[in-house]
Amino acid sequence: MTDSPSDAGMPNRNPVADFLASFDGDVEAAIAALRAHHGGSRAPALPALPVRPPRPRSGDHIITVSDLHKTYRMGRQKVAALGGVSLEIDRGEFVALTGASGSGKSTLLQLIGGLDKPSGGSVQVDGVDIGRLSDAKLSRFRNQTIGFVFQFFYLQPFLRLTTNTEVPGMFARTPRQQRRAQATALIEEVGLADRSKHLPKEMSGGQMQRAAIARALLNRPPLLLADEPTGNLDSATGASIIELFERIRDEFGTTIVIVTHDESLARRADRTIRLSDGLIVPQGVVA
Amino acid sequence: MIGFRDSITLARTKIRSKRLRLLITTIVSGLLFGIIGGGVLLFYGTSASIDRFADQNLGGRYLVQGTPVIPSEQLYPYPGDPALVKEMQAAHTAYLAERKAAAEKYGITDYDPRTEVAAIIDDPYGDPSIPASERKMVNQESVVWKRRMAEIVATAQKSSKSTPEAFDTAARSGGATETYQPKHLQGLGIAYLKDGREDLTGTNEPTPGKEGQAPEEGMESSIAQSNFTVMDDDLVRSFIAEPNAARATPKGIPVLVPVDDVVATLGKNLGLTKRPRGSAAQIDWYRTVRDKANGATFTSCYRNDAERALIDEARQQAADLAANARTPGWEKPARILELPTTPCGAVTVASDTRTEREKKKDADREAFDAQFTPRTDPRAELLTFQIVGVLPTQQSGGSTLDSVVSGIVGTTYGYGALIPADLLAAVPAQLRHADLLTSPPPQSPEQMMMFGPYGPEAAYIASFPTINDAKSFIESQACPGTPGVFSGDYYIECGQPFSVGTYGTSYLVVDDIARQARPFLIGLLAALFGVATIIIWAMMGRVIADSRRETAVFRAIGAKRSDIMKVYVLYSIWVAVRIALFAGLLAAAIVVGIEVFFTERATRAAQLAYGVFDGDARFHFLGIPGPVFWAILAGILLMSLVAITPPLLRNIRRNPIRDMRDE
Repeated sequence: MTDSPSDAGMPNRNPVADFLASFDGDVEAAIAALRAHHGGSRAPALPALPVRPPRPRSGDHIITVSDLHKTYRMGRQKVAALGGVSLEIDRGEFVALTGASGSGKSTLLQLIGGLDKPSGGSVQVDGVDIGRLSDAKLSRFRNQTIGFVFQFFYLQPFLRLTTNTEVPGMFARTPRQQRRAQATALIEEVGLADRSKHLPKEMSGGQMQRAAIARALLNRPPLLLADEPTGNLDSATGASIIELFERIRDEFGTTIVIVTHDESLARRADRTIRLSDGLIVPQGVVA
Repeated sequence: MIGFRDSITLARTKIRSKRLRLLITTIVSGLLFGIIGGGVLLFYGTSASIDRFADQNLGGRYLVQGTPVIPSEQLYPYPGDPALVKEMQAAHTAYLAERKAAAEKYGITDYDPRTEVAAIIDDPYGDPSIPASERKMVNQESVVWKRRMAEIVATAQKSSKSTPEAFDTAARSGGATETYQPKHLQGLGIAYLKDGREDLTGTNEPTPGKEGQAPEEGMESSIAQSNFTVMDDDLVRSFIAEPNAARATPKGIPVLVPVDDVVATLGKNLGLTKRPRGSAAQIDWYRTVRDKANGATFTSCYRNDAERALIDEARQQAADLAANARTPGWEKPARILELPTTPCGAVTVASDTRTEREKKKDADREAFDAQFTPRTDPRAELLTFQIVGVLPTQQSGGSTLDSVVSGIVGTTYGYGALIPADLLAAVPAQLRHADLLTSPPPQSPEQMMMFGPYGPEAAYIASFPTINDAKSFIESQACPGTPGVFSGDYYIECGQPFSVGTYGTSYLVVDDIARQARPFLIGLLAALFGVATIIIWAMMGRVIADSRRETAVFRAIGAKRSDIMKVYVLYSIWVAVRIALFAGLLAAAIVVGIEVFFTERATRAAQLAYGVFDGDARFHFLGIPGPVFWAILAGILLMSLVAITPPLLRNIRRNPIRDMRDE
């Protein structure tokens, strides 16, 4: 299911409309312009982001989820987080998983990432049924195939940015020089070149999330999974992060799956998959 | 698996977190381990220093003294034993018949058997179920009892396993290179002549103080008590002073005298002061006494029993003459004896008005007595002793550190004044009096118990080349459960022929103290170790438990369980090394502090205790760490690793999502 948000309802004669008209894709510059327009004294109410036209699907599935079930035990009760989810995600696709709290979107993301074991069904990523992998192979799979981005960044508090970015390479035993070069390039790519020697506490939330994205990309994974990546950021910064995801997808061909509550962010994805009560909500149905 | 350097990088980030907690843990547990380590270092240093001083004192060998063990139950039959009473009654009857026959033989017409000491007397401690008139026991003052005792002693001597040969064999099979038999000479009738004068007013024995009074100064010394032991030069060579002008030619029997005895007995004549307070002053004092006493002489008088009996008779006659000079009808003895007028002179006969018949009667009486008691001619000899060195002695009754150390580890040669045998052999025969410097074998069980089965000459010393040989020999000869230096009860009887122990210097004292104090020390160390371990355990466990989210993130970005184990094990080692380093430095600081402040004093105390007054040996507290020290450091590491294992295993087995969700 692909949402096609429209900006038809937006008012024409206001600063936001002017901003939208002049928006050229540089989110931060646009935000700066907005702040300048408002005298820089307070954050403006952010506009809905421009929406790119969805990419046509290639049919080359990197993720195939079949009849996926996940049941948790809460005391004596069993709670079905996922009740038989099936889906396919194409290579290079940018997919948003949305839904209300408890709808099962994060659980689905974690099962795709091999962080949790399904109660039933299967998950194939890049042709591998990850439910059949041993713990060591699953670790290697996570290290090489998937990049994780978390809501709370989870950077190492006492490592400088470059070293923080290198951590997945450490577990991959990537040679130090090669790893360092990759990290430096990625830091530049996410716009933090001037922060490479900073500690996380010396950076803003947005910068930390950019750093976490750089870290997730270090081993050049074909799949990036992000759980509420903007949930801990203000709207403007969140928008810039989504912009970064788009750029990554465009430049590296990375498949990106994000979990978000934010419909406006979800609309930036190629496709939005909405979940409700552990099931995918069919297109056209209001969840 | 993650590389070593990268593991270090990630482990370091843990070190930088929870800094205050880590600092407190490091300080507290480091303090505890530091105290343990300091104690151990101190132990090693002190042990090595004691060994060094003991080695200087003993000349690289380790002496073991063996005291013959005599089963006392064999020596003392029960005097109330009815069979023994019956037997002694019969023996006494025979003895009286023997005496009566002898009296008839020698014409002793006034012999009355009723004057003989009774052999059987009432037994006040006998079985109350027996009528009082039948409760009898052997009189231990009777002749027949004494004869019986002499027989028992002779039998015990013949059957004893505690012979010098047995000691020599046992010691050599235990690695001894030499055995010695010092000849102890106490109680031979030698009396010290104070200022060269003989006191004949008493029994010519040293004057003990009257009840409640202190003895006369100097009269308790080995010189005044004539407490001498002939000993191999090898055993005492370190105390023989360099010959000086006074010793250019031998002037008497060479003798090494305990330093305090020299001062007590000869101090006034030699211009010596009493032992001062303070170890430094005592060391100077010892050297002064040694130098001034070297070559000094004193005299003693030897009188045998017969001569002493004459002295007693002469004194009694003199007293009677004085008391009865004006008594009407009082008759002077026919033979008047005169006390000697020169030191150690012989008793002379001043007048003898006995008739031939009286002389024959006296001769018959002497012959009668000689049949029952061997007769010896009276003998008196003036002996000159020349001091050739002084022996260190322990400060008695002190409560200072020096005196305590001295009392525990100190040197003691325990046989009064010592006569070096080789030096004695070099003295001209007329000064040597070799025939007097020997002790008779024991005649009674009491003597036997006191001096051993062969008399005081039979004390045994063995020399071992290593401390371990000496220790092994002592252990091989000891009865199970033999207590150590602090007990005082050395004489457990278990069938071993010798009671053995260190001789000269208590070189095994550290061993002994360690054995005695082991339970306490182990308890203390275990308690400290336990507390430190709990602290480390709690801190490390908490840090690991707090790292669940981090572990989960690592797992999410591809870390294997082994990678995480490696990072946290390195972290644990890192923390342990910090604690160990702190503990090690603290331990070294403690011991260095003690070294700086106490080494001078301890060196002086050791010099006094071991009688090492020359040379440059110093007492150091800081020892080269031995296995226990390294074991403690290894224990810190081990405890740290053990502490992290359970929470770490829990962490890596947990579902990472759960831990991230818990945040």
